[in-house]
Amino acid sequence: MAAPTAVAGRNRADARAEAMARLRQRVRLPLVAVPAGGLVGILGSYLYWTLSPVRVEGVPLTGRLADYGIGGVRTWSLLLALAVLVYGALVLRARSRNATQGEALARLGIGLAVLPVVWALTLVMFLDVEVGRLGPGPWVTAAGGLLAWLGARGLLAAEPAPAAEPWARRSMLVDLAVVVVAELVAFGVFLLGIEIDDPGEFLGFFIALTAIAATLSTIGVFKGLAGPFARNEGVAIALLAVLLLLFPFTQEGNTFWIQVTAQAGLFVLAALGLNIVVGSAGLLDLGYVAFFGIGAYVAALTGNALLTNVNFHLPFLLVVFIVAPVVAAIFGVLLGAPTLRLRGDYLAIVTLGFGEIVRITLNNLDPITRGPNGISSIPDPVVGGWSMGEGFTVAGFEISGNSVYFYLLLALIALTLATIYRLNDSRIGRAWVAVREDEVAAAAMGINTTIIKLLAFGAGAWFAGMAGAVNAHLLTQVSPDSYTFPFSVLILAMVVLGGLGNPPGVVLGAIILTFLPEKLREFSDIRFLVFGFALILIMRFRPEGLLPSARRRRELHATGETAAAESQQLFDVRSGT
Amino acid sequence: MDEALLDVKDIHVFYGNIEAVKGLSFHVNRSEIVCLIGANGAGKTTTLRTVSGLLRPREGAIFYEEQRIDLLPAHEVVTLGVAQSPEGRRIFPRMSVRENLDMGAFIRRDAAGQREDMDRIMELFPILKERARQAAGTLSGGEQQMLAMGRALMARPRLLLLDEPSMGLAPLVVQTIFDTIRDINEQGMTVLLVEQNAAQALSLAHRGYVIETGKIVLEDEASALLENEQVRKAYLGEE
Repeated sequence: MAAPTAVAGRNRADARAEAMARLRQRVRLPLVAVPAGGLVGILGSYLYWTLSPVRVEGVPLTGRLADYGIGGVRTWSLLLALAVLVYGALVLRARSRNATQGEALARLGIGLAVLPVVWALTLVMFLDVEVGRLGPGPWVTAAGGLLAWLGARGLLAAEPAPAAEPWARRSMLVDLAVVVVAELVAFGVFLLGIEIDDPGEFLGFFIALTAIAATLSTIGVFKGLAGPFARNEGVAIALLAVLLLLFPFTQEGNTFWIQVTAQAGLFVLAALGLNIVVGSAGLLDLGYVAFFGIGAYVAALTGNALLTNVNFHLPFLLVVFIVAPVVAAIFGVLLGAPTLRLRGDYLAIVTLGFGEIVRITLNNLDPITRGPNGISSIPDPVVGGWSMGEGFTVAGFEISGNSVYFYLLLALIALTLATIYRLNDSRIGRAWVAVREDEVAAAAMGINTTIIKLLAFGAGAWFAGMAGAVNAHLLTQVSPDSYTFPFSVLILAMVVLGGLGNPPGVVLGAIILTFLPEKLREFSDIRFLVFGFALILIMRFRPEGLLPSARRRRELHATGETAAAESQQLFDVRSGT
Repeated sequence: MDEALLDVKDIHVFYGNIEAVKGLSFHVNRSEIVCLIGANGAGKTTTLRTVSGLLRPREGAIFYEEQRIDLLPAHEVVTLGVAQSPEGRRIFPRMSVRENLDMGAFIRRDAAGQREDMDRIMELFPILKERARQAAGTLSGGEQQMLAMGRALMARPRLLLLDEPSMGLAPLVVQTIFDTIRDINEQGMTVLLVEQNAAQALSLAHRGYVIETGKIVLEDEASALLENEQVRKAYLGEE
């Protein structure tokens, strides 16, 4: 007798759900909330955010904060509020609505809600601004964001949109225009980010950018862009090269950000190297800084430093392209050899130990390394009688020494990327992937896993050595405490954040993680807290990294079937005879 | 004996201090299917892994085409022409089906021959052709087994080692797989098969060995083993 009642109960529940769905279709209330939230957000952006200008060491913190007009952080909350309003209205007008649009709207809403709150928290907690001096603006804006977010959630019950596809070819011209515009926009955003000095405003800019990027990603714009970019690879690369070559000219003699960009270039090189070890071959290396340090010391010892015990001079180009990478790679293989039978956690611990051994050795090998003093006053590299630090002049344009380093690193990165792509397509690259996926199966395919793993360690160390060599000249000094464990972790974070195994992602990760701490410098030590928090958020919401490789995405968003198949495999292995 | 392709002579294999295989000898002649049957933990998989070079015997020797192979690492054994479909299939889950098959041909450098073999294998297992671009981890168990066998065949081996191809599969799928093994064998491939599914393995094989706790307790023509009182009781579940 129980069964029919249960069925009737379910029918009734179904009927109720259906009625609710119909009601939701008719009542657009949730959707009305979205543009309303946008409007509230715009209003909030125009209200006071602080009651009097906040100054830190005499510098006004957020531009014309006390004005009615738009400036500073409020530009970015206004931008987000406008985006909510416009996109919300578009969705509201659309005949067929889907959950994907809801998700995209919700992201904008969260961004609009989070931006003023984070800004206010930062001011109150870290810059000693009293809560009473904050105006109504941030709270109204946050309320608008919350409203939009709640409204957008009303859409989540609908069907999701079909998965985004790369845009099909319309015409050659459209494709080209898309590529050019996309690159110009990206470059413009990069320049804008550099231009914003105010840390409060930068927070706003960064949060708005993140929210907009997340929205575009949700509605499939980035996936779509893959189409035109794949068809115009040559143009895309050439344009990118031109933009990057022009970058120093946008800085009008101010060399600070050129220097930071050069530093980012060094991290890109190192991260690309680590990506071979961790991303391609799947060997977790926590002592990677050792190779960077070895490269730096090789360059320091052979680079005509003033304060050094040994000077065995070698030409710079020889050192950067051959000596430093080769020495680092030899140490890479030496580290690899005893770890061949280790995996996962054990491998990580042994590599961690190696990093420490190198640092401590550098610290104690006084006759050669001058111990904790390090080697300093390393001059700029001299190539054929010309010192890189002097810069040069082309057609009336003066190129500073920092720009020369920037160009040198661009060239090295281009070379490295070309090498890495060739490696990944080669037998070696395929063998790395096979070893990462299943070492026993790889051996059964006839892959010499010993050699392949050593090659991964060696190749990874090669690029770290190269980066280290340039680093020694750029910073004019090396000392053991520059090459500590946190440095290894930072590079690993760049690789993981950007997208393990995908070179463009790794480049992006390295750039973001170099610029973010620089931009948040005013928050002094607190910036690492912000930085850590940002990393946690990204790993929670986008574990595959910002620009993941296709294979990695498959892994982390495994369908039920894949997961089941994999756990079955684990079971099979365990129950084996 | 002179036509033996694989000759395993009195091997002892240890995991640490535990002796898993205790003096085991058998041989596989050219063009035959030989199966090793036995209960869980009898040492079948250990034996196969030793033949393929993933494990090393502490005593004894293994000869393949009159060459001693027990001292060679796994990847060199493959180049000699011994390919395996390992226990638990061990396909590369995040690679596509086609990439998996490509990996099987890793030791070969003849692009044309590889393409030919790829076509042949996709003809042998049509489902793999259908799923060529799909991630291998999303295949069903039976499809994964076919992929593992196809991948082994891509090495163009002269001896194919199959470890429990029927494990965890539906009876109908097992039948398809065993039919394919017979087809491959009829085209001249020598097969060494390790199975718990004794009835089906013995009806497919030419000769069989029964392993118990690391030793061979019986060896005979497969048809004779099927009739054997002891085997029927212990492995075929008959009274």
